[in-house]
Amino acid sequence: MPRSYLRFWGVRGSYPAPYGSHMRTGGNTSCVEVRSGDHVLICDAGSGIIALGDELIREDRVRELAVLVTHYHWDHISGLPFFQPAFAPEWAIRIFGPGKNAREVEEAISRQMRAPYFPVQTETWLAAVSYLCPTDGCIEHGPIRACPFNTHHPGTTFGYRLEVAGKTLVYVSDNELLFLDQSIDRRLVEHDLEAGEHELLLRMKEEERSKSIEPFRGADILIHDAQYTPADYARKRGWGHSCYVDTVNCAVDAGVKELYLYHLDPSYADQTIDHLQQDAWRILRERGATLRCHVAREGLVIDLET
Amino acid sequence: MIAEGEARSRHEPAVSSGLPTVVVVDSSAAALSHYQASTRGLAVDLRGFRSADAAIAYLHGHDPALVFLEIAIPEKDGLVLLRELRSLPNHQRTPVVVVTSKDYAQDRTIARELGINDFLLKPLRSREIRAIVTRYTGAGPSIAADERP
Repeated sequence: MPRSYLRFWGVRGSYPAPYGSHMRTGGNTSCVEVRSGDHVLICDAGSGIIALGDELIREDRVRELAVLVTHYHWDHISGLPFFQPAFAPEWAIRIFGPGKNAREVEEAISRQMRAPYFPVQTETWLAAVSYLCPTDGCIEHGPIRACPFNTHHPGTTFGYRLEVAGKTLVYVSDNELLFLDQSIDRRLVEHDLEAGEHELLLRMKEEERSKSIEPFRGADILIHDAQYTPADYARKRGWGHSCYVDTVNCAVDAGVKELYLYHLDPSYADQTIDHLQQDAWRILRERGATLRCHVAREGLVIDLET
Repeated sequence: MIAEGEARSRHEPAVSSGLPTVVVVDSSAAALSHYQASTRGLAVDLRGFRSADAAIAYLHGHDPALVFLEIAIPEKDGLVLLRELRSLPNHQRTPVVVVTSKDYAQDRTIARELGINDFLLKPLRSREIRAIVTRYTGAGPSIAADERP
């Protein structure tokens, strides 16, 4: 293994999909390990974090972890009740997520581990677990630095821009790109726009597009929500997730070098995911873009030192 | 581009205007311009803020007749701002109309729990903005300074 890398432990959105037809892509929900030497930072604690926790225990080397939670929907926290390092003494885990203060973060995390939903509470965790709310600044974990920003998703949801091993990595698990863009288009065709209103709406649209891609502009690596096909997005617009076509186009516009299509719909079997990847490549060919686009697959390791 | 707190619908300085104040919190400069253009001619003092922190700093010491709030703000979420606003003694009942690009039930629920007056989807038309402003401020057409008796 390289000294600095990222590894996908869960790439699905919404719910785990442990089906034979899905195994080349993987069935666990959101979890990415970012490692630099002995510093391990984990993006999201979906069901993928369970196997990562087991691996960290087996490895028996790292004792301090940072977990960045984007928000508290189940597919992003459901692995924590089974995360072995939390139940082990001599481990220190800092958990970051949206909230007014540390207490709110703790409350959001621990609520899922209460009766009647779960037999043991977070009070049974033996690790030194601390909670922090990063809304007022960035997070340092050894040589890794992570800064949160808000995404377009129900409630307060963060994306994170990370600096690690000289690279900029942006993690955006849940984000509906270009939602306002489409709403403006609907207004623009109304026949009774007032003088100057058309121009203002066009300016708003242009600005919105620019703001949407700002958090990942120039990123070396972008891991981004690409949950739906165009047909499914047409039915699920306003659910807080992106169509992969928008994800690919926005990544190109933002000058991203490498894109990983992530938070994949759990109903999509490997065959559908293959089609999605082929179509993403078609878009890139047609645009003459140099962006390298991949599907995030469980177990995939990206060397951050090359 | 409109500087924070400087979007006004009249030429006079707001401190001496005595007009009802309308605060707009939206990180989009184009959106602030839209509010400004839409309320031109109404006797209100329009103040635009592109960040939640700047808006809350202003609201600590002012009591506007109405707040238009976009909850999708990149740095500090508008729902966080709304919670902070409601914790201020002078803003527990300040009328807040959410005008946002986020059309999610969860956001509507949180915003309603925080006592908003309405939750509307962007972009509004100019006539809709004027109707809301008039409803909450009672503002009629403004009279230019040189036309006053």
